[in-house]
Amino acid sequence: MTPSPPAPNLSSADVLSLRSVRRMLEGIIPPALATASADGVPHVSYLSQAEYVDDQHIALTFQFFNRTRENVLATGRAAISVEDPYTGGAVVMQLRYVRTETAGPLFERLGAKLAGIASQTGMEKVFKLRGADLYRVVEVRRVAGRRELPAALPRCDVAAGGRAIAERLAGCADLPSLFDALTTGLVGDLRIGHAMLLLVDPSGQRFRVAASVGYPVSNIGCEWPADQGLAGVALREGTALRVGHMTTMYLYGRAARLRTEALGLGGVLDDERPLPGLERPRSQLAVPLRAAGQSLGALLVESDQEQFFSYDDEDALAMVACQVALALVLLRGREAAAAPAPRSATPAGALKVRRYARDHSIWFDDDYVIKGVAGAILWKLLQDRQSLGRDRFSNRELRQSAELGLPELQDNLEARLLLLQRRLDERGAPVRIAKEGRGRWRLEVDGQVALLD
Amino acid sequence: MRLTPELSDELRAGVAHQVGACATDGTPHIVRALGVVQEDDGRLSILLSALANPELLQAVRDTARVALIVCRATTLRTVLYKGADAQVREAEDARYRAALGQRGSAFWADIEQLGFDRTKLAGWYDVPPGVLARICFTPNGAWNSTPGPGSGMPVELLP
Repeated sequence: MTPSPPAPNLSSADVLSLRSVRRMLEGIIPPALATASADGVPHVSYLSQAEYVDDQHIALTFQFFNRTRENVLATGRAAISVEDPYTGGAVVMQLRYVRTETAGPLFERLGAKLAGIASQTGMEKVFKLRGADLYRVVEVRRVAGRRELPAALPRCDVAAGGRAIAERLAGCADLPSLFDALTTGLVGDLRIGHAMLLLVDPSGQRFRVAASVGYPVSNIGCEWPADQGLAGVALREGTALRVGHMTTMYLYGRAARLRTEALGLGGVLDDERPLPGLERPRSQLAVPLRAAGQSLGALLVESDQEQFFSYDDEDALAMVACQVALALVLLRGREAAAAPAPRSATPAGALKVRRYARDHSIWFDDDYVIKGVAGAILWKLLQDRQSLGRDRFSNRELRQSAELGLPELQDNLEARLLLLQRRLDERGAPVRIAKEGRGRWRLEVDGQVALLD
Repeated sequence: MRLTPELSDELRAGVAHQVGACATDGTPHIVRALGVVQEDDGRLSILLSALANPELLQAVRDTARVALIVCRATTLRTVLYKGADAQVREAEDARYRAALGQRGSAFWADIEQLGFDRTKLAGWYDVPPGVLARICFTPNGAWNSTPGPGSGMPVELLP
């Protein structure tokens, strides 16, 4: 017997605006797309991304030539099923294909998100965005018959929090206080538990952690190539990137990676790269730092909760990142102008400080200075000074710097620092360290230094 | 055609389902389904709420064509099935209700490994009496739809 399901009887509550459901598009639960061939054969596929464009349009990624693509180009029609993971509700949208964009802001935004995920799973050569397919949304209809829960309240007033951070930053007269104000504000004003400020080195090739909050190890001074991870893609594309369903997207990348390897195509894959930060973040937002025509780095915030960051967070942190970038330019310029005159005789031009990574040996021009852990410490301090503008440091942060290779027990850090201090003083070197208090030190540098690795 | 034992096992292992159909005017329709039961004759019965998308059910009645995609959330192993002899039928038999419960439990067990809170999505499987329907069809083709290279390749079915 064929049942007689209720006839479509749409109330005004069943037909929704696109804006009212845009948060569902962020895809913790992957959306699915139905199309049909010109002769009416239906087809269904899952999507990796659906992007809200404006109140009448969404964009879908075009990565592969497949049946879905063929159907859309033939009929211009599609229907998408989208779920709300927090209320249990769902909507179905009727779509009309408008065009495929292969350049421009929309293409860059979708491509950057895809690349950010691909980068973390070594899939950049496989996950290539061919285009951003733009669709007009002609109807958004609630799926009837679901028992829905009320939507959750926002965690804080994001606009007010952004303003409070801006006020904190405005009061900073040097780089350390700028970094402190930023991390304090992210935690206190925006309720963000995990954040890293990443600055690029002068070559623009490597990120270096300038400030961080919320991690067991601070990672300050830690480095990695500036083209990796969501922050790397945000920096490269100059656009904020937000992913609220890292678990799902990571699985998407992993599934494709396993499939690629099973087909014997593993040679096109890059290594999976664990990056500093949460081991398995569920949400990430990366905002580039740009000012005065320069790309200075990126602000990366993370959460262990799915869809933690909203459109409002993206707006607020983009503003905060602009202010941080401007402050970096101003304060770096001020600190460079205030650099003391050379105290001792210096070679003509900049002092060339050369590091050999094999044994962490440090050479000033052609003169050997020190090696081992003490050499690694000196190199880290000089790098932090050059890329972050910092000249003060503590025993605590050195102990948290994994790249120094300090033993976990009995690290003899204080003794190593005293040895380094004495070695530099004995040489009358234009680079010195001086104790400022219990567990606190200052790096002093006369003149210009060129770091050669 | 019939499913291989491996494909049959996958349908019971806690997968997500989406069903597609195309109305006679060319409008595509889609809705989440809740489970699939393999009948003794090899046909597949897709379980779903008749309230969720009545237009899709009407499109199946009018055209007999259906597409079903099933995906295991923890691995993203995904298979697409199609049929051209689909019928819409009631599913209030105790056997289908029992299958609905089993498929729901298996699905929750799978997605809870990803951190999903089943209490937020419990309404999916809360189908009131009298509205559980099924779309019954013979699979005439299956395709691998797992993300990545090889997606779209045929999957073997038994004659």
